[in-house]
Amino acid sequence: MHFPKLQRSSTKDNNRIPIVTLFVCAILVAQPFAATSDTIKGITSNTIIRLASKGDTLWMVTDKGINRTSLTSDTLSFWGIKSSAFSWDGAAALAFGQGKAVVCQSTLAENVLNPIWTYSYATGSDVVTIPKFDAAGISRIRDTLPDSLKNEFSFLAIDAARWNGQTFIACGNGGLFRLESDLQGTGTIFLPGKKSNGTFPITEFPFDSTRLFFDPDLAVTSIAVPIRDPSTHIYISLSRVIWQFTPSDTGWKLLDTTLGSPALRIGAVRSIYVRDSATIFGAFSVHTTTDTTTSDSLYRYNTSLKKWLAVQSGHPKNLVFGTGDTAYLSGPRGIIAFNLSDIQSPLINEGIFGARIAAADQSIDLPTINDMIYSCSPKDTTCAFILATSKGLYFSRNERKAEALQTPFIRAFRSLPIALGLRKAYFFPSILSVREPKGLFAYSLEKPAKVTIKIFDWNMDAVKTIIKDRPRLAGNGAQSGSGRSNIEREDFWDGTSNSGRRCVPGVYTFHITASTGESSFGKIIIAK
Amino acid sequence: MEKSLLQNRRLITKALLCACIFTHTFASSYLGGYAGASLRMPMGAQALALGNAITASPSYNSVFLNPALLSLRKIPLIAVGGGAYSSGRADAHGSGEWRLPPRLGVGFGFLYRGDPRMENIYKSDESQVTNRPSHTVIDSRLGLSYLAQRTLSLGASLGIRYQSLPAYFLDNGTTTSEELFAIGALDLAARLQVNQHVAFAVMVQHLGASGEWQFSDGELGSAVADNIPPTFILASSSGLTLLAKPCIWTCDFRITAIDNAFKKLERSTLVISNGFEWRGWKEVALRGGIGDLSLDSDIFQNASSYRDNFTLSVSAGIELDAARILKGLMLNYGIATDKVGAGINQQLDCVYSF
Repeated sequence: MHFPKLQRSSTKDNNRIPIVTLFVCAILVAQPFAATSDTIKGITSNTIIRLASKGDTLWMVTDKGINRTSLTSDTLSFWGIKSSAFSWDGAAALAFGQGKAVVCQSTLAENVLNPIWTYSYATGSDVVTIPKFDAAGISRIRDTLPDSLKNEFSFLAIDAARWNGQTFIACGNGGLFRLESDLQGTGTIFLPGKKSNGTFPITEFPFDSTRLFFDPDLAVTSIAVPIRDPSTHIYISLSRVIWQFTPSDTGWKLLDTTLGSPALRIGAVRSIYVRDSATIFGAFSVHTTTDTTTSDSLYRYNTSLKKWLAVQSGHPKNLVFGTGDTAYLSGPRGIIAFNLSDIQSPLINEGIFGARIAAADQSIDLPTINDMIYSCSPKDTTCAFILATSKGLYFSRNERKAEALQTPFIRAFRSLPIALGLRKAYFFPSILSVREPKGLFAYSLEKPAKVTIKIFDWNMDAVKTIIKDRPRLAGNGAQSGSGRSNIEREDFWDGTSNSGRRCVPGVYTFHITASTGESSFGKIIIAK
Repeated sequence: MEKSLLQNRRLITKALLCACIFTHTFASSYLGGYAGASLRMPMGAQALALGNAITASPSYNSVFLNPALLSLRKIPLIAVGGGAYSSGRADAHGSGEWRLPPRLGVGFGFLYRGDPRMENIYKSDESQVTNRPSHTVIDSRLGLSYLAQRTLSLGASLGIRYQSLPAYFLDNGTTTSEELFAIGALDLAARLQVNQHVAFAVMVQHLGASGEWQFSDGELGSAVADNIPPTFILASSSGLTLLAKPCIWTCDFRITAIDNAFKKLERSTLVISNGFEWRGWKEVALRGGIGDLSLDSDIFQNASSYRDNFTLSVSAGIELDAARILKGLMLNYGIATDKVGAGINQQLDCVYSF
């Protein structure tokens, strides 16, 4: 992880004030963003970064904003707020509980203020509202900031969690920040190993430019609340250690970081995953005592041995706990389900999950999974498995039944409204590049028809026939319920000719014709 | 006259048969997707109206169409023109040509082609770019011709190509472009006046026309060669009579069979174009043509595929002598159907001789 280059603090005690101060600055920045946000009905973007769920409500952060939906409705309806402030670069942290969602952007760029947003919604209402911080207080604080400091802070919100109605934010700058329940701009900072330092209303934060320093020894890399026993502890990982924090008495306990192999040491703690106090996983970079070259592995804490034992090489992207002793792990090759007692023998392998995801939209490319949650009803009667991906939301409302029958995931995604008729046909992304070497055709037929798609170059010389006389449904009864007639695994172009030769960079024309007489021309650019 | 026409028909028939046999030796052909697509289109209203059958016929765009014609120019001229093509494509050109007695002719010209404002460019399934990006090709030429004999002229032109292409999406919902410069495209041509009525021309276009795109999108990048395959043109021009008025029949065979490194393309191409120009009045000439008739071995091996990819364009045009407005001024207009039915292509030129 790359941290901004800030000066090191002379004493650890000084970090309390800077972090609180940084938080205030984050609030200052949050206000203008909130004021310019745009409430919409629908998914804000198909690049979904983080998920958070409580009860029937699902919140998600995308690279274009935040969304809420109810998992109980027959068809997921999304309400959201669009904001240009979110981006994939600044992997946002999200926490939700008791009607309030907290989003922390954590861009890793230097000299960027990383704001915190809080969102809530009125019960029974579709409207997402943004609670306001004390505008008058913010204004006063803004006035007190020295000009030299206004653009020099960085607040790294690495992760967030809700615990007993309170919101905790893991600060990349150091410490655990508790946002007070009134969300009116007060908070408490807890430094690992130290008792609470009290609550600070934002209007009383002192400012001292000499204290705005960064201490890597206190930087928090992740935060976890036990799924099965959520009222006891919060776990936070620092760069090389893991702390157990008890909010009720603000006590800290350092977990043992001894590895099963005596020759190995923890170089960095990347993330922790906690089901209960006896089931703790950690993603570590480890090295030998003689060599600083690190390797990545997933470890599980053995409570009887009081040691971390390696269970898998490589870092998982996510690990969530299901019902019973089942857990789900996503990695570069996909998702597996495994029993906690034997991670080496998956209950369900990547291929089966991959097929269920691909079947959701007849896609040829599996999406990148950014986050996932396994959310059960209070008595575990039904459990939803939800995936945040680069191509939208994939979910299964009754995952245990879906796993048994291997039924496809349901995909919810954002797409432009498209009218019936080929006049509105288009190709996306319109520029084929090294980053996006393949694009898809989007069209919606008025009636079922046989469709032909051809590509021509700038001189209208034939380049490729994508499909010829392939049957397609009308847009209003189309394959995936998206209102489109196209089929992803067939209606795409990768910039090659009929003979498989790579076409040279330039502007190309596509022509879609249907047996009903409809037709459409459009442009494609090859820049690769 | 009748004899000349008969002789010419036989020659054309022989040439057609030879071309078919030639292309049959290769696999069936598609030229689509190779570099230089924008330069394969007819240039100027006269060429558009004649279905691009222009190589052996005197033209005001000789520096591009056949540099061997430059030494045959009797009086200097300048020409400017432009056109609109289907699917938002646009065209503009200009040239100046004159003779340096007794045997030399020189000319220069530029040609712009592109999509000035492309519509419906989508960054993703959920967002359309907010600007209207442009695609630009500018090809400039310098031509020289030498009259070797009274009936034989030779010519060459050297070109510089610039191309700008939308290449990246920006976070603000717009696009930005990448550029290419390619120097050194060479055209070689010869024209033989067989008799008073019949002329033949041979030409090789785009020799050594090569460039390289450099794409770099963050950490990802690629270098892509953009080499235009040379095109061989065999052309004829025949003076006939129609309704007792002069009529010129022109025919071009365009063969693309090798790439820029003189290696055989996986599929060669023969495109036949025919055009006529009828001078029924002193100040007006009518033109018509059938162009873009592609022949390849699919005719024999896969008739269904040939029918699917069959292309043909029908063109017409008019030339007006505007000497009443300005002595030496000529106006040309050409119109043609797009060869795949994407719309109508039009060109308007203004030529001034002095």
